[in-house]
Amino acid sequence: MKTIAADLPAIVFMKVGRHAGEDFAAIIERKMKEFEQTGMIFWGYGGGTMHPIQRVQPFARMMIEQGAGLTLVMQPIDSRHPDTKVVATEYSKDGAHWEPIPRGIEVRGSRYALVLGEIRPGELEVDLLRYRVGAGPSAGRIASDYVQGRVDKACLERVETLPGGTGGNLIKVAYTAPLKEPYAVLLK
Amino acid sequence: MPIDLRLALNAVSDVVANRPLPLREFDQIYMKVGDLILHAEFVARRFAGRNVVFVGDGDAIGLAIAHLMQEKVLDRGPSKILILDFDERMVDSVRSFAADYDCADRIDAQLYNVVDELPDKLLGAFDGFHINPPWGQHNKGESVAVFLERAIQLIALGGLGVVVIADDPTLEWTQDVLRRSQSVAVQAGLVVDEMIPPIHSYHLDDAPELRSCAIVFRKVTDDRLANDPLADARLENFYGRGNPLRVHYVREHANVARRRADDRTYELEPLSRGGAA
Repeated sequence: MKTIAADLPAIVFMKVGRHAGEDFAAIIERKMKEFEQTGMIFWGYGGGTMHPIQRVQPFARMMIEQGAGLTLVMQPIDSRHPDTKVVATEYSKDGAHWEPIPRGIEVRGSRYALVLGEIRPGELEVDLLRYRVGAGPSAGRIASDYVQGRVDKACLERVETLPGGTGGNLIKVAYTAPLKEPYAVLLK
Repeated sequence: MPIDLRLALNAVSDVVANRPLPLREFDQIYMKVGDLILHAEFVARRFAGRNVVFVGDGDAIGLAIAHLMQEKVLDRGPSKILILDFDERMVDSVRSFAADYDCADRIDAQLYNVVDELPDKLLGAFDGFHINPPWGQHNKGESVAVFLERAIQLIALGGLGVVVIADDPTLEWTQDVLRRSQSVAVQAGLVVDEMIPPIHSYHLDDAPELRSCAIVFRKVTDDRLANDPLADARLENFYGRGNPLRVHYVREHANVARRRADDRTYELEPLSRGGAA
């Protein structure tokens, strides 16, 4: 695979792996088919750090206003996500109005989803020292300090000046995908 | 009086089990239980004998105080508590709990949103207020100012007010909001009476180390605040960046199964044994 230069102004960083009883490779294959059929992908996720309305949507809008694209970067890891057969049937952009999940899209075992364009394979190195948290009460914290322990995903923006001017915290990324409006949704 | 930790935990456990699940969309983020107990004891002590109004109380601090007093874990506290909240689930949960646990003579709740003017009969009717509003990271503390101004109008001269907001010297926005909040209070006739350093932690996964402090204010002059509906400009970014105040009330779906497990979340699989009918 060709290495891609890590020069993205704004990213959603996410550790990914086996989810809801499905291997990561199978998820990627299924999601790529989703894109072929519908022109978009719902990428399910959970946890309490990236609420669609409170965190992802405002961050995405701010980045778009600044003329920066927003890209999901995925770092594969060994995941112990529990097996589940639950499939979302509805989604909401605002928590008030709910619509059926579009035909051709299936999201398993997740309460939120990022809305993506095409997923692209490719090796990418992201230096978490060059990014800072872009949304929420931790905004401004350096990503390499923030993404650790239970925190496995984050909305990050690039900083031009390295703290301390040294070092690097390189993360290998295997897949990327652009976020599309409405960027993130609630599921049920 | 030292409090019995076991009795306190058990009493607050009753309250926590009664709380509706938080709606993250409206910045409802619950204080962790250990800190809730400490804060409830502090507030009860400072508000002993007073008629207190909570403008918003998703954490259920007010209900915890009433229940801790009813269970005699606390030997002093407010004489009366009124909870004002825009979330009908909160209002109903307070009322039903108060009825079930025999403390309805001390605590009541009613629906109210800070976007509206206050009912005339409540103006100056209290001698204590408590707020833990949206912390105003993206609106320069405007959401805190809105709650604070409403709460200030509810208390009479000599009344006390407790304001719970974020405080982390490493996060500039928290210091800006602290400064603005104190300024709003002082301009409305209050002085700082006491300040508890940042000790409360929350179920906030993307900032688990963020704490809130408690500022106690005392009303020393007339507030001269107008009791008008909230201006549109003050609604922006109310619940966070890009999240204006646009919901008037959260309405509860009427149901008879309150505090019972939602049967849409499970099913019963019968025991299967040979010979069983």
